[in-house]
Amino acid sequence: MSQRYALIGAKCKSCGAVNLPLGVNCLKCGKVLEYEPVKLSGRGKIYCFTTISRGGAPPEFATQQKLVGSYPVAVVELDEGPKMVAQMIDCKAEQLRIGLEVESTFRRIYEDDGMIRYGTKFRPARSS
Amino acid sequence: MQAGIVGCGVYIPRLRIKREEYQRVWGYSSRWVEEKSVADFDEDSITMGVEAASNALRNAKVDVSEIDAVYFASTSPPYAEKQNASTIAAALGCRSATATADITSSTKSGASALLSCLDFVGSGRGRAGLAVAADCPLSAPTGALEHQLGAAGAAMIVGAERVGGLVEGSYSIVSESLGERFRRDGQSSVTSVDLGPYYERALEGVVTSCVIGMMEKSHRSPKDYDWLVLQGLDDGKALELSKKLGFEEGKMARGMICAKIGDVGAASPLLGLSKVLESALPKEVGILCSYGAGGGADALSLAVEGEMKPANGYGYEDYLARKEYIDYTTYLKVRKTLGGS
Repeated sequence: MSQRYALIGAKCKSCGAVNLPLGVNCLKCGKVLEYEPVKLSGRGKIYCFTTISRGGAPPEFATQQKLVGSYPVAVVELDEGPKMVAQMIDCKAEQLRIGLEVESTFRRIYEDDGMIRYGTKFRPARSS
Repeated sequence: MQAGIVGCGVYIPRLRIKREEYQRVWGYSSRWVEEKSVADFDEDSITMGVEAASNALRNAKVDVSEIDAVYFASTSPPYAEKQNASTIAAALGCRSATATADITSSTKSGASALLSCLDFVGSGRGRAGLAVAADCPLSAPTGALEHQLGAAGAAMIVGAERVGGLVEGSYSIVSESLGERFRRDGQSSVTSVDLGPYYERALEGVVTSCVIGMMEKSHRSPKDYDWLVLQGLDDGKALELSKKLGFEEGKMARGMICAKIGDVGAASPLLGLSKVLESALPKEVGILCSYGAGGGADALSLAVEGEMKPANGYGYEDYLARKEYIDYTTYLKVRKTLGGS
């Protein structure tokens, strides 16, 4: 869980590819993953995106969809290589485009059995 | 070992609601809140604390591996049981050998977390610690406190090396009074009993004796101080008290945050202090006094030894300027007063 919270990737000792999430085999070279943990910068670019509207949200996001309406979701390619699916915040759907620079932020994702699931969302990167 | 503040970071959510919206909906509003910050539907005191702490590490150029303690202060921790500081430490990527604690149930908890961190480092038990305070207190829509309640986070890195703000000493007052601001176990709304003048006397006595006690202990008088941060009470009352204590208005204005953000509970002492420290110059001396309704006050006397400027785009003023106004209905939805499960 701390790896997911803090965006810690696994750098393959064979080929150097950064894996996130951690699997049994390296996503790039396919060898059994022996790795070093690396803290990811949280910066990346939008690889592709979509908008989730009424009726389209999975059950855990249904309340969110009702409360705030349609919300954007993107596949983000992180600077270190791995791709991840996450919600986009602090922006309107019209602002999104492939290649937009983004930065990670720590937010509530959904609730489940009374527990709060925290994790990563992205927002457009600050210029600094 | 002498411990002090190495750096600070703040976080103010993007959403804001104007006083005019409260006037439109209710026909009345808080006298001193022009607009306030609102936590978005996916924000809480933990997520705001993480943002503030990350900013503190970034601003002070401190690596998280140097942090040996994380103390989290809030009156609105998402979990009443299950430590909230652990989530913050995990999100920051802290080492597993990290001391953690939650400090809650008073608007002065932010100051208590800072004092605990100073004790931790000052006693030599650790190299550096993070005091993180974040709050988004809730009240019933018709509650007397509701309009003023905002949302924000602030964090201070405490260490013994590269100290920017040396803490010369502290002074605390304990007091017992009922009804000013409270929330019983199991309730989610902060409430108060309408006994205005009674509280004013209690608050004035506690804050005044705490600031005077701090000055006497430091052998200083108001003219020796460059600024005074009074938090846990509204801006108007803070100005009135600082004048009575002998501080000029300009010295008080530097640490005032309420008019544009609202009352941010346990985050207010560290947010007010961060605002001052971001632009404070070496050789300045100041006091922070944090009031906790019904409980007491904590004061710290600080000597500035080095600049603690934020990274470009990550300062108090940057967050203040980054905003999106919402209407009252949206406010009820994002706070889950309407339609939340």
